[in-house]
Amino acid sequence: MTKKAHTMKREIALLVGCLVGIPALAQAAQERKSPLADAPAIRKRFELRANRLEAGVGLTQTIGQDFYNALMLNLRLGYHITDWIGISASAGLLNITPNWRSSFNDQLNTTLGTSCQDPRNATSQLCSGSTAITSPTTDKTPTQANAAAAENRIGMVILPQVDLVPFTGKFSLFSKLFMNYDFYVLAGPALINLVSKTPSGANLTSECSKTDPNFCKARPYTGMKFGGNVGFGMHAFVNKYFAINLEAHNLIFKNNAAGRDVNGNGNVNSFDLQWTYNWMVGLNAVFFLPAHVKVSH
Amino acid sequence: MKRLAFGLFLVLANPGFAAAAEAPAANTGETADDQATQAESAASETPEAKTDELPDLSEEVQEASTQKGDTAASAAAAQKSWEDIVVVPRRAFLKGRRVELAPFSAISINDTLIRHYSFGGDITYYLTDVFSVGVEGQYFIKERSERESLVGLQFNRAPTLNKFKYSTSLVFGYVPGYGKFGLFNKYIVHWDLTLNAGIGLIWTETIPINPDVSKYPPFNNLNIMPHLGISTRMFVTNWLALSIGIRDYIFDDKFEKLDRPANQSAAVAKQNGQYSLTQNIMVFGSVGFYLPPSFQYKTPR
Repeated sequence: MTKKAHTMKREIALLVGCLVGIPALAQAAQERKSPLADAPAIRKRFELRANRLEAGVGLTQTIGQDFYNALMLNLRLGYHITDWIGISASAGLLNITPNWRSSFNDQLNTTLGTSCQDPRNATSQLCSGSTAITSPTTDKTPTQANAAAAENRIGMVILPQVDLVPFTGKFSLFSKLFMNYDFYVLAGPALINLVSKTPSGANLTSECSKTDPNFCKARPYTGMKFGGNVGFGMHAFVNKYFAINLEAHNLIFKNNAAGRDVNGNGNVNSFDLQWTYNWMVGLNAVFFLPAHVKVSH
Repeated sequence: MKRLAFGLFLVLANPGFAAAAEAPAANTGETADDQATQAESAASETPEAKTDELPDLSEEVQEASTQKGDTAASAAAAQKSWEDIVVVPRRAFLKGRRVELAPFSAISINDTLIRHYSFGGDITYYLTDVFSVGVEGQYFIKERSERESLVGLQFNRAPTLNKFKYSTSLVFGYVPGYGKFGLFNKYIVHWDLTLNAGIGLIWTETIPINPDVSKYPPFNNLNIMPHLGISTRMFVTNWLALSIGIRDYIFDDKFEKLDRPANQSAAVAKQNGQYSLTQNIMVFGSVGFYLPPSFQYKTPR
């Protein structure tokens, strides 16, 4: 065999080796990659929200209001564009407890019962005689009726919002019962209708006998107000089309719940408004339509 | 020539190996029983698989068994294996016989007039995976609310308030629920639900209505304080968990009397004080560190 032929054979062998070896190496590299590397966390998952309408009814309640808490009949309507984002609206349409005082208001109301402005106390030991510590002409304490007439409360809320659903899963209870669930965060504008016990505080002026703004000029801050709404919620799916919905909202808007002077300038006006954070929790029974659920790959 | 022959052999042999590797997937000679068994095996080995779909697989198993003329006993065995599947197979985190050290921070949410922030910690020993006993201690920092500052201006009244100083409790825990969720369908996070009940002591101090403490010195109270709570815990690693929860502390606290005269000593003021049932609801956030930092499974699941 000539030297040239020998070299040629070596080149052919090298070429064949490369042709065989390179794809084999590439394949080995592919085989080393986990088959679950790009897999979703949950396969064959019920997409319980994607392209589905949600409609339900329930109750929603304010928490920690200064003067009046509200328990409201609530409606919830929504459409889930994908499994993880949707648009919805929650509306507390009817306050079924318009006279539900907070515990603070209860205690305050009790102490206001001794106001010397109240004609019933004009002859009491605190307001007249040698034991008097104040008098009807000097006491700045509002009467119970005056205070109540100036205080506002939430009458209705309408909350259009975007729901973002990052968490979905299932849970077991006592290792027996299990449900699919999701957690979502929500945000959007808020429309809050503030109402008073009497329209525009009608009985305030009739009781007015002084020039102190916290007695005579007090007036309830009422009407439809605009604010923001952030919160979170969850669905616990009883089956593929019925779920229990729990929602918490923080309504952020300007308010003067007492309807009295705040900044001490002697007037009750827009300068007395303060940003307030008003928490509400709601419990709804909701239906998802269509009843059929898509299963992911 | 030998080298050339060897090279050609490799070229021919390589697709042969590839075909052999793909053969099991392409093999259509399996029985229905084998396919059902594989499907069931996949379902049980994949914790994320929806168990709602498994009844269908079980039915397939039964159907296949019937077609092959198996006895009723094999169908019962198939059913038994289905019933044996737990809701959340193989918990990702075991707590039994481990100690949790959990520093926390909390905020009170139910008092309109005064807010308390607290910093403290829990030391919990898990007797089993669901029962625990521990101690809790916290130090409070008070903050008067905007509403409290307006009561005097708007209503000519001053509220009687107490501030919380510190507390300690014995805490019993029970874990009734365990679950997991997918985060954007990319990550799996395991969590549990814990119910707490306990009893302890809380130290409080009056905030005099008249701010002149030289004439109206405050007095301290020591109260027995039971509590109830609920929390959820998310497991991050084998030794780390994040928790949020809510606890409701109830105690009978003594407040300064409204008509307290000036220069009355703290002891006399306390003697004349008024009791009032106090509810302190606090929201907690904590980070739990587990010792020992690792655990071993003692059962297959």
